[in-house]
Amino acid sequence: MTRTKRVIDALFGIAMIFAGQAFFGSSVEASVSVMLVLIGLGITLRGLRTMHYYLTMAKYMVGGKNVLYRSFILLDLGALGSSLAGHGLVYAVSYLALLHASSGLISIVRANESRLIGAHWRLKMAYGVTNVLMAVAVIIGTIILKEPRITIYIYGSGLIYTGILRIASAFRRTRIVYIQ
Amino acid sequence: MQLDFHYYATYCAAAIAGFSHDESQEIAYSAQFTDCCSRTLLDKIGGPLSAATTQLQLELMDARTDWTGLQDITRIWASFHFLPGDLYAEMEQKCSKRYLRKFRLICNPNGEVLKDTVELVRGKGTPAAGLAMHVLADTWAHRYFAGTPALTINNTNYYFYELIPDGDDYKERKIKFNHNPASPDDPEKGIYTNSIYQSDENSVMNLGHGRAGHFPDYSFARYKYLPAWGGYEEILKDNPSDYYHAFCQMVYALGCLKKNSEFETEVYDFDAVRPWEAEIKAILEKRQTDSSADWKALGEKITGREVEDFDADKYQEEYIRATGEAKDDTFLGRYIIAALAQKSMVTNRIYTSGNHLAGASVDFRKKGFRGIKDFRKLTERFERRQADD
Repeated sequence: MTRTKRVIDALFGIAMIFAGQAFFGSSVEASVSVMLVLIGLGITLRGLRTMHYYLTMAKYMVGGKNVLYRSFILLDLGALGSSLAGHGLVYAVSYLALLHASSGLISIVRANESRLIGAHWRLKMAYGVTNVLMAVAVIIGTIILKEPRITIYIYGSGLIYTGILRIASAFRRTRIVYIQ
Repeated sequence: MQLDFHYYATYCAAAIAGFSHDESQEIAYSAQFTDCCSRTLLDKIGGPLSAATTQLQLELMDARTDWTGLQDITRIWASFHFLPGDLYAEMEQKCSKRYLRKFRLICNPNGEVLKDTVELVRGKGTPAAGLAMHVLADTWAHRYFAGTPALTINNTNYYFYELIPDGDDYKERKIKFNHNPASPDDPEKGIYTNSIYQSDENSVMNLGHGRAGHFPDYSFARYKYLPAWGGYEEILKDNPSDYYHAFCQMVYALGCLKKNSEFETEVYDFDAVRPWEAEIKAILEKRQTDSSADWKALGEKITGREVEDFDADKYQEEYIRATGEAKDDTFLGRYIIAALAQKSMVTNRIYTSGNHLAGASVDFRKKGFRGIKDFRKLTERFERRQADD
């Protein structure tokens, strides 16, 4: 990783921590709107990146035109996501629940595999169970208990956690020594 | 390639090259261990995690595909399973640098890095020799795929036909792929399992030959398909021929290591293999997903000794019980050092070709020790050797 990329990653991580923290002090309506705008913006950026990917990579590949079509669809979806701001709690809940549930289940299966061959597994299992519990909390809290703030807190915590990981990754040792 | 070739066929090759029964078993063991030495296993035995030579399916699913995560994946798969054939290759058409960097990681036999791989293990014993034989053999089975996640290189599409011998000719049969990892491959019906299509360029589903499933790992397979990088030109892959070349090249390489002569690419010891040629070709052509029993029988015929079944745990207790520097002198300790050295060398070759996909390489002689701590094992040994001299 180049030094510039490390700095960009670290700055991006810090920005994510600040953004995550801001969710804890805002109203539910404003937070959900911002969440959906962020998700919509994310999809739009993904659409632009996909178009860039087509121009620099996929156009040389067999069947690469599909990538160009996909970039158009993503740009459309991004615009749609942003336009849902203000009345899209259910979308925010579905997005978060799915994200945490899938990540948690993979970690649990991984931990089980490590346990079977006698390797360390408890930390992975704890991470997986926590993620699944977060997904359940999002659904129960928002849909059954009618407490949307839970979704906001979990999304904010997720941003802070990802930000910390990004900073840690930016400072990770990556070079490999070579002896002639 | 799988256990049948990496373990039993490697045993046969070592025996033909002149190694004793015990040495041949050690070489075969470490060749096959390259498919077992994951981070999970190293974690269990307390070895350095950077020595991982493979990743389990779930490790891959859990792997990050950010810049550093991709470099880690590429270091493992390009160093041990998809050795690049030509790090300075050019595309026929003009393309972006970003694309070219991935294109240059396509695996092919007889590359410069293969020569470096064999020379690197000279005088390092059977664990290192076995590891190099795994890398060499895979250059034939995995050719045309790259050891880095890359949709634009490794993807395959519906145009995938098996060529089945039919008298003096071949009949074509379209291969049906499914994505259920629990369903076994069925060569009789032409149904095989592959990884699901993932549109993300860097998805781990697009690593190596995942999109062609285990099909390239079967010695009997002859097939034609459109590689993603080939500009709509079909490729014909003839595994029985390629695997025979792989076998004869292993015999030659092991002979070079035994006789301490220089290894050259494009050289095969056909003469030494000739007495067994008919039997080897019959095994390679037989339509079966596991040829272990046939290779084992051939190995026992060559040496007149019983070939042990592969047991991944065989040397683990010895490594776990050893303490301090004595760990490095155990069988697995020597294997681990060979793996670190191979990873360091391949990363260096990729990096010095102007390609950062496997990460940065630091020259110890010029800059001292920098980077991932696990590799200190290499420099410590180097410094000990210098002190001894």
